[in-house]
Amino acid sequence: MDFDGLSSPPAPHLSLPSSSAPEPTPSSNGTPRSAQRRPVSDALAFADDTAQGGEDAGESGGRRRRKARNQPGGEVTMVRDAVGESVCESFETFLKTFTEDVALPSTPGSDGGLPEFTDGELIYIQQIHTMREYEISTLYVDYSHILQKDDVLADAIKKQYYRFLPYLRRAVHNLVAEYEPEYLKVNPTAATTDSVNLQTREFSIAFYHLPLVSGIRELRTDKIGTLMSISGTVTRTSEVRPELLYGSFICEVCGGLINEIEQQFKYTEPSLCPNPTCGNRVAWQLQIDTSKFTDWQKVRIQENPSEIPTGSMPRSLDVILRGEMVERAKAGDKCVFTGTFIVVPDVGQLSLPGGEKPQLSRETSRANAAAGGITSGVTGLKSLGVRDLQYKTAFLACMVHNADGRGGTNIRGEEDEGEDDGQAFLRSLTEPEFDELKSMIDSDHIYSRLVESIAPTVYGHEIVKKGLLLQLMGGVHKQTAEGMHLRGDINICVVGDPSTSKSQFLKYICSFLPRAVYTSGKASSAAGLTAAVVKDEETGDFTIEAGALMLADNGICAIDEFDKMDISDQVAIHEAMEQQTISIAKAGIHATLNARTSILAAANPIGGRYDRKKTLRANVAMSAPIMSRFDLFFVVLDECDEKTDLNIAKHIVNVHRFQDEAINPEFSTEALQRYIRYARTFNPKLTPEAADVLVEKYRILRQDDTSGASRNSYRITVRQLESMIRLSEAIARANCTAEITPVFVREAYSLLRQSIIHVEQDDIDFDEEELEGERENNDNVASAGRNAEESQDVQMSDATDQLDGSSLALNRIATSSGDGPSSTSRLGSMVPEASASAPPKRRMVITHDKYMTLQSMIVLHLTATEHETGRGIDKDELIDWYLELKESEMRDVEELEYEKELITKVLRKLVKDNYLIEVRGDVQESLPESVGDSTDLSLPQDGENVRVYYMVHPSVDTENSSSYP
Amino acid sequence: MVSTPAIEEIYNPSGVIQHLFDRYEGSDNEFASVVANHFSTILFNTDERFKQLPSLDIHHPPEAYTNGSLVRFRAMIQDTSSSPELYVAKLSNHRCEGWGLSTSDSNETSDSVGYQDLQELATMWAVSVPAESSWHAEDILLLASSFPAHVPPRPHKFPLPDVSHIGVQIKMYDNASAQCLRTTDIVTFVGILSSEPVDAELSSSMEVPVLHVICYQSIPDPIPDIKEPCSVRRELIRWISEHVLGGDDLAVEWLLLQLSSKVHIRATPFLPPSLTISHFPPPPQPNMLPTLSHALSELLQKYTPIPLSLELLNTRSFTPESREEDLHSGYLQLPAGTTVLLTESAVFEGKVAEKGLMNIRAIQEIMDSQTLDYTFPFSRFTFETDISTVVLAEGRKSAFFQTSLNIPLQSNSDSNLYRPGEKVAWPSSEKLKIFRSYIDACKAASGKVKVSEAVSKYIQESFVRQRQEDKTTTLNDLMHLMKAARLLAASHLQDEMTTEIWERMKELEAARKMRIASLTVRT
Repeated sequence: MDFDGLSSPPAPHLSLPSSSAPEPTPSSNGTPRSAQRRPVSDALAFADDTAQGGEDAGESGGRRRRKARNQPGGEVTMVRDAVGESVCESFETFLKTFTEDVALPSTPGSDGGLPEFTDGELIYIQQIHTMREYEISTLYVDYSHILQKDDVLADAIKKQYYRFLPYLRRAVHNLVAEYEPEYLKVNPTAATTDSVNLQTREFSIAFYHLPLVSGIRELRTDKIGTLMSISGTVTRTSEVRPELLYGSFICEVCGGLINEIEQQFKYTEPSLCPNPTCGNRVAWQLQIDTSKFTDWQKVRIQENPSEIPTGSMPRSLDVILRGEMVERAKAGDKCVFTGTFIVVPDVGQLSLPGGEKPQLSRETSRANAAAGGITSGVTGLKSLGVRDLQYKTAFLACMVHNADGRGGTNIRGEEDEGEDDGQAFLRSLTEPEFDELKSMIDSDHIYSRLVESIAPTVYGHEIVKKGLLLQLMGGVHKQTAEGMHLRGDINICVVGDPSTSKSQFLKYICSFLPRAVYTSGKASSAAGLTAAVVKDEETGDFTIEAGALMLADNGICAIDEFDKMDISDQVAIHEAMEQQTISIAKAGIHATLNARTSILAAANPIGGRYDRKKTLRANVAMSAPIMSRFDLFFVVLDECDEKTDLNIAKHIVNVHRFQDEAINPEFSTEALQRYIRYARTFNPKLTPEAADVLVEKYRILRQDDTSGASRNSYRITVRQLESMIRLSEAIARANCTAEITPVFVREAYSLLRQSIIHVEQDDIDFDEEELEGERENNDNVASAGRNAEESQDVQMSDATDQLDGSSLALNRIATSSGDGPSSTSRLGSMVPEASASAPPKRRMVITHDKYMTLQSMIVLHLTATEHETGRGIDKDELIDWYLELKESEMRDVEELEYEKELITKVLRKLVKDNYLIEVRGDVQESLPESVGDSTDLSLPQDGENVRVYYMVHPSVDTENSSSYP
Repeated sequence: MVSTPAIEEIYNPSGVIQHLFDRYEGSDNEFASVVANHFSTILFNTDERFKQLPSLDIHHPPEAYTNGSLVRFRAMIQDTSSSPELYVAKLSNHRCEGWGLSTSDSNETSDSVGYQDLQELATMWAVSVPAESSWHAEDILLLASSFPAHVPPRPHKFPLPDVSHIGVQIKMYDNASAQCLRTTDIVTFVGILSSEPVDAELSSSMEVPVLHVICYQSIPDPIPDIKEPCSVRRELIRWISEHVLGGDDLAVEWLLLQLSSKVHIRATPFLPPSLTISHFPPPPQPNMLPTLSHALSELLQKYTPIPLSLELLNTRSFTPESREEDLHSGYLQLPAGTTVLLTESAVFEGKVAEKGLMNIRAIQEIMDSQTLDYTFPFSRFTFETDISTVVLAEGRKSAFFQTSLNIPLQSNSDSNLYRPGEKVAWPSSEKLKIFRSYIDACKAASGKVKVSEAVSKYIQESFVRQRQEDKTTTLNDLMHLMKAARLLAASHLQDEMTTEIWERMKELEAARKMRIASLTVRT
């Protein structure tokens, strides 16, 4: 079972790899005919009349087995390769009997025709008919089919491919002879009239779907002659040339015709004229029209970057393509070639007599080597009489297909493809690597432990590290039914004070990911590739203006000082971020290039330091559309706080003290890279429950957004919904699972929430207030107003809904308590919770948020009362009302006292801020019981016993605020 | 008696190999390593035998030797991308093949060779060590000779253009150990020299020197032992200050820190710094190298100046690039431990083309992350470097590069910073030797500096205090100071950071900052 699962991935439906071979179409007469035929006798008959044979099997394993038919000297007894014959037989049986239906047991049809199951399609018989229909001579065989059906045959083909190749081809030949006999000859009508023109068609077999794809580096001499797949990037392709397979020669002495002289690595003439009276050995003339040629192309491939051990350079290899495989690989393509590794003696190029220039040397004939030694096949230390024959290696491919996303199959897209991918990746690992990966996957809390291993030199900032991990994981690339691509890349922006760890994060990513590019916005330009050096008039310095930005396709582009980037370049980046392409318009050439890259940007706040009183938008010089393209924003602040300072200092010093050990994370970079590569093969899908949670969380975000008190820096739109999905996908990948559970969505939500920066208002410090007097509150109101304006102008260009712009006096209790821990851990270590900083002696400090909440509570309560009674509320009554509300939260008397004092101060401030008006004195002397309360004691500052009534200030827009109870 | 086998090994290597082969009974593909072991135990064991081997170097080019001689070649590996070759490892008559061995029987045809007798050999291209100072190279070389100037066969494979060098194709029969060799490694090869047509496609075939490697050695130089490092340090600073940098002790202190740096751990906090000496006066005549360059080439083992100009940037390659499967070298393909002096005095207004921009990026990349990108068709590969960079800028900062350190030069007005090499008052050769060893020792020490618990506590507290006093102090300052303080400790050849070093470092940093600030105010 295991074996099956690993090495034979589920067979796709009749799919031929790569696009050029037409789909086999059901032929009307295929199945019934095949059932009647008796394969064995046919094969024998065919073998007999074509006088096949092979040379001694043992002599040299790599030698071409196939001998020319009707060869002169046919009287010599051919040694038969018995194993080869049986391979031929079983391959033929396989082709005849293989059906898609995997469950059926394989019945070797050794004697009595085919078994009766005609329900499954005999795909290879179908293909034979198709071959004739479309005039193709290649039979595409899925290796996994053979493996599934007959693993002895599969093993034989794999281990001794080069030896058995002629037999395999003969099997195909037999099949064609059986099912499409007319197709066997190149020109059947001519053949009947003129037997000289009778030419047999050459068929070839293209194997694909080998379980393992090797790298060029793994080709060693022990691999010679075996069937294998290798991958590489095509760097150069030769032109397609004719290659002489079988030559026809006319003896210049007696004029006799000799056919089918097999060419071996070089131009080969007959050794002796078969005419017994002639005896000519040298004078031959090639007959072009009766000789057999095939298309031939040499392709140079280079190792893919991912397959090279670090510090090594890429190796190259020649690949020989023949027949219908030519012109399939283009320079720059990442391709997988299936075939065999061969060694050929390096014989020089010989020119053909008569000026014709067919490609004679099969392999790697170098541009005519000038050194004299080459033509004789011997080179080297001639002066010393050294005989040093050179051998060349090459890869003889029978199948080519694109391994890139560019060609037909999109690796980033389909699910079953992805599964294959993961399996393939697992197989490429060594034993210890696999064990390590497995233990990582099986271990608990892998997500948080991965996060800890990210950027180990940076202290703290877990949230940013989370973001980076998810960026490395990425979301799933999707394609809509209309063919629109939806990006799966996660873009991140880190905003923060200078000389916090922003750049370190960027550099970490660049050192971590091979396809990452680090660039500084100041010196880069997305489109322009040239830049100028100009002399700064003032300082006399030469400076460089603008520069190049190389986009990391399929990687991460880390842009430092993003805010310094030219607006036009920001626009270009913007395109790259959403469309995943980049347009270049230069010198009249318009080009759109692929730029499938995630952006990791770092930006400095305007004015050098992040101003927590302003919105994020007001803090960074970035246009709103670009901002909205970032899935996550992180603010890294340089907090001057003794304790944090000490911790960070300790970390930095420790890094220097213990060097490697200090920054040794749980998982090494390599382990992490492997894990991420494996995790990326998952394409997680939302479970229904998770989808519900997603909807709910989105709703909360939206609602939160419309309530101005949270003062989001930008509007929540569908874009953030997409972000949330991408993040959930990435989190699922990080956990190596293909299902997105509600937990993942919640994590994504909390990340998104934390990254949507709320404006930090200064805490309201009543003690300070009292000292500072009147001046302060004017400022405060002004700044609140300014913020409201700002949050309005950050509306996304495509925000469709009209939301009320009011940002004041709204109640946020419901939402802020609803999201529990996520809101308290907001920004983690970067922005310490304002409320947490309350000193132990309980100074009268509350967060701005709380102040706003209290304010709206009081205003609403007053409004309601005013509506009923038409007058304000007595101060004491109001305080009691508040304390009653708070009763459940209070634990002791101290707290009661505190709250009482607090509310008093809040009221006073509200009056100052023109939310309430204070009416003093001679209203009614009612409600005596409240006087007896502790009010007087708690308000010693007021000093007098005058009754105070509060009413809502006429300028407060109660209508609006009441819409949010 | 003892030295007789060694003589045999040197004068008749092929005979020895055949002899080994006759007695050998193991598997074919391990024979090469047996040969390598045999020769290295005999040759590398004693210095004396090793010195007996004729050396291949710029004074003894390949022409000086007959084919088949056993030579040693101290070289930098330039290109490992060429495909491995196949060779016939043994002939039917039990003759050993490879290493360019000769057999009298040349009538054998390819048919009698079984594929199982084929073995792989690794090929690479090696050049004489670029940027190596002549004094260091001469250390190894004993006798000079008078051959006509050697014309290197493939000059594009040497990093520094127009510099005479030796380029040799290396054939490694010991495949497993060949995998350990990386580009820019410095290796001493011992092998049989011959001449063969180069195996490069599309370039017209030419004969190049080929070294059939028998064994090789790549051991780092021993760490010299310096007595009284502090006084050597003082002397060195005084000498550089007085004769090279016009009396600016502070700049020399920082320069010395830069020179003692070396990559020990490849993590951002430990990478060596890069230094700009700004406000460096322009030369009296164009194209003159400052005295500093002459001094560095006398003091450092591996050093090269690169006089930047727009033309140089726009036309020359700084990064290696593979064209037609031939890796062309670039300025920056330098062995680990090289110091590069970039002078900007020849930079004038003009346009930086794409190539120039890529070159600037490449240098910046080395400064920031000690990596260099090699360009291959359709892909780029990043290789690790260990290059220390010093930039001389006329303005208050470098025009092209962001270096981690910047020290404005304040030299005495009467000093000549462009004194030619022969007019410099060099210290005595013994002294010079001590200086050289001292810098080597510093480099080695810079990776070993420990920070004790007490000192780290002291540093933490001092940083927190500083943060309290001055809010502009940032974490980067601490990281930078830590790095510099380690180098400072190393430059005293201490393996432990002390509070004195830390305080001294803070002083140096404060002085540097003050100087920058004072100059900013003035302009």
